[in-house]
Amino acid sequence: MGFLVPTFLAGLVLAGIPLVIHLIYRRRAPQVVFAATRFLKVAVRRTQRKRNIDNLLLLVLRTLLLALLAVGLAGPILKHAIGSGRAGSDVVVVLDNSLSMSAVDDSVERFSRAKEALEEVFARMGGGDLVAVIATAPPESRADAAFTADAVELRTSAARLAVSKARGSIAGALDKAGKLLAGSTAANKMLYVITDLQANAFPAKETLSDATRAALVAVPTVIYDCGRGKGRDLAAASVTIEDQGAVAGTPIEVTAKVTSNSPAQETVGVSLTVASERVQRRTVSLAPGGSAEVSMSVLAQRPGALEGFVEVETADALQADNRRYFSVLVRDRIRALILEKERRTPAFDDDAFFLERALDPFSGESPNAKSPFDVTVTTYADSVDLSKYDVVYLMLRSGIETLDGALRAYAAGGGSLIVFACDDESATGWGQWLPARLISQKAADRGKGQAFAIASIDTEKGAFAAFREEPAALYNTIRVYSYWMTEVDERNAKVLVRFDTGDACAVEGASSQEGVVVFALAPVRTMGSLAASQFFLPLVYETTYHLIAASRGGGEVCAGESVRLAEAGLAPQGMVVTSPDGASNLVKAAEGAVLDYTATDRLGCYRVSDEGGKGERFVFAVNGDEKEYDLVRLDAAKVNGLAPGAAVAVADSPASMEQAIASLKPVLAFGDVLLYSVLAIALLECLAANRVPGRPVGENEPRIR
Amino acid sequence: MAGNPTGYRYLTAEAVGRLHNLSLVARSVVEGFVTGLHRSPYHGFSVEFSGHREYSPGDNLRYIDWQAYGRTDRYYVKQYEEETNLRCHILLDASGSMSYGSGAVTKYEYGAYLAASLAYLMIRQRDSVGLVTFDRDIRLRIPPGSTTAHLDRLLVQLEHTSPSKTTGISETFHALAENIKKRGLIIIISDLFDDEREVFKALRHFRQKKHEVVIFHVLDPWELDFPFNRTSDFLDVESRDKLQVDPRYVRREYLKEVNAFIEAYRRGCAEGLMEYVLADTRAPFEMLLASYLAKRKRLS
Repeated sequence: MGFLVPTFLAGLVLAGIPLVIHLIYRRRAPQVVFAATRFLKVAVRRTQRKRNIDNLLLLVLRTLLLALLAVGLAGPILKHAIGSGRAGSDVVVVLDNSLSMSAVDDSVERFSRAKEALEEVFARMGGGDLVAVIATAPPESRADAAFTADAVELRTSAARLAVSKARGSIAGALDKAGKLLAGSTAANKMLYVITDLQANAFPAKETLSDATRAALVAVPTVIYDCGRGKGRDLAAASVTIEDQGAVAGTPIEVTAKVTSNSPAQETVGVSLTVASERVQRRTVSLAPGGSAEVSMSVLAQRPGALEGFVEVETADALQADNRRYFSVLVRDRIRALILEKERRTPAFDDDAFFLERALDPFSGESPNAKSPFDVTVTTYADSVDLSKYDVVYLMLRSGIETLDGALRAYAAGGGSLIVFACDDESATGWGQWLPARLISQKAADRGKGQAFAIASIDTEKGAFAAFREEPAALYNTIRVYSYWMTEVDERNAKVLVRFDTGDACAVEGASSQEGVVVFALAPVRTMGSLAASQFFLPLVYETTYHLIAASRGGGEVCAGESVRLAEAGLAPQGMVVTSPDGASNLVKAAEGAVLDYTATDRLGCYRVSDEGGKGERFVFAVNGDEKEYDLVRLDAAKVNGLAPGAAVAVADSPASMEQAIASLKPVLAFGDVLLYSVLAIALLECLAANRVPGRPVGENEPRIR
Repeated sequence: MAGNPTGYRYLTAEAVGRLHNLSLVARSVVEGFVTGLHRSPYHGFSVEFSGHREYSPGDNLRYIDWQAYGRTDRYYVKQYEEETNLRCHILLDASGSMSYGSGAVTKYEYGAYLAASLAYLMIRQRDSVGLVTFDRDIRLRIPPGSTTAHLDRLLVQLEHTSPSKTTGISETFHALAENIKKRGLIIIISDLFDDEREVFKALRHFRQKKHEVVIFHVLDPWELDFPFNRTSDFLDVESRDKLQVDPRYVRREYLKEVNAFIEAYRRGCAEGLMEYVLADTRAPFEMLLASYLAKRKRLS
């Protein structure tokens, strides 16, 4: 049993008042002189026994009444009676185990408070109560939650629960809870949501399903707030890598976004660590709620995995978000293949000539100078293993059908394919060539032109600087032909674009392992023009780097998410994944199935290599869910807006849980009314019993003369 | 009573006025030789003819019935029933219990008023009246007298007496019964807080001595009604013994006891041919007395 206002229990000492009054009055009873005491003696003798019994009963009753009054005012709550006053409730607990729950407020981890609250719920279980616990973040959230009355099992499961670095979903957990409660036939139901009310993670009401909202409205809900006051909150929110193909000897620029939600101005140190060695450090000043981008660079000295992290060096409430990992697979050179129908002479008429020279201007000219590109030019007729190349430039002309299968496999396997659709080929022609999976164009959009700006071309940076000199209309008005808008699946969308003028073609594609970019015009015309080349070549470089970066695979994923190691049917015999702790895991795909790696619960850098192969095939970094980095908390009052009309109460301690449950009572229970009525009547009885009617003794004291 | 026009504390003007036309007539014969309102057991030579007896030497020749001599040729003397004065003894209880009073007067004061009024009444009708005050002993005894000076003495003594000590009715009454030689009227004014059986024995002792007995049973209204509500320590007015009592519990039993007590006296007096008057001190004594005398006159 618990009490809403335990302070009133101090009133239990009042229960001794009747005894004290009894003793005082026993000693200080008024004296009355009387003559006919001979009759009194007889009367007293006859009634003594009854009086003693009555007095004892009255004393006990009054003591009990005062004790009950104190207990009643304290607001007793049967712990197992979860809101209803009766056993036999079905209770669902949604437990937030997202990354922000590892934050430390007032020297206590939020998740510790969550477990304390969970134990409080278990302690309230009575006979017939069923409880289900649903975690919001994997891996626990993947388990199918079900009601159980086994407290031991619940406690054992709860003991295993830990903060997850994976991406969680309170909305998803609430949906599960809603389904469980909707399927429950118990008369009494209760929903507990144990969370830190982190604003970013807490669902908006529109994100909840109708069933969940209905469940929240139908079921009394206690939201247990594990978070506390606002403390220092810094985070390395993201890291972006910019490189020139990640070739050895070239710089790799690491840009970290550092955020602060501290209540005061913060000056923090941000460091870059590569291969366990801190290579750079910066200091930034951050206003409350502000952010800053800190750029640092490191030279990719040798081929292989380049692993590191950016770290905010100032301790704060949530340490888990202070470090952001990144991983880059550094190549010796970019292996580029230019695939054309045939070599032409003179060279100026050759499709590949200008491109070859642009990529590797030193080819055969100077043995000491080395381009990042190792360029090979070949024709359709040559037999070539495309998988050896990081990027393939295809001069698309008729006759490509012979390479159709190989090209599709290369693109589907993550190869970077850049297609120069030469102007003597119709769109239909090369459209037919495109890998079958890429031409699932939407019939409804066919032929429609939709114009929008390529906002991602930042003229302040990198190779796109050349755009600065160009009229904005040239690159800002890019027509996207929906004819070329294709979808592979939801995850890997490809967008094929070209300038609507047709004079030049640029591409911005979504990140993908299957990089395919189509330039609308042949390089022979574009690059042959000096004016156009100034604009066009940087596009080619950037597009190439972009595709290569995308095809490096993995890149960065959130903890708990799977990483596609190989597409269906393209997986090698086996692949070895080396996790941050150095453990190597051999993974194999079933025949014809995709190969995914799911054991990404540990933050850090992972390396993937072919079984028995030398060197990494690709690398990826695993970081926490950046949505969890911001510890800004939701105003508890807004929680009620989650499901308008729902009975929602907020508690922040086991003691206040009592009050929250009590506040969910829609009406005063009949038992309470009865109790208070009895108390009131009994109180009146006490007062009446002590009242002295008739003549006050003293004024009318019998006179003795 | 200082402010009393009569000059006596216990003889009030109201009582005198109320009793002006009333008289206390003995219901049984009383012994005496003075012509008065009451029949005497002694046959003398008064106005009421009683019978004849043969003349014996020494008889007054005046009383020889010469007519009878003419008819019978024998000497007879006429006998007359003598009407004589009443000899009344007022026995006033002056024990401690009589000091109790919840209202304006205590039981003793009430009894004293009754005694004074009765004494005045007696002497006004030329009867003799004496006064005995007692507790467990006889404290004061004034033999009967019928003069105004005697009345004055009685009234003064009443004022100078105050109740005290414990009650011992039966022993006192037995002693008095033996001491009062001539039969007359015994008026007892008391709360009778003594053993009933012993008291009755004493009362019967009076009756055996041919006295007419009238009992004014003086009780306080609080003794009759027991109106207390609050648990209190009840101190006995005589012994000062303390008894803690919750009146709510004992009232019923108390009243039952008191009623049984009164009823015992009422019934015992009726059986013993004694008059019993319950004197509730709430009632004005002159009213009580007037009512009693009127009733007594009717019955006689």
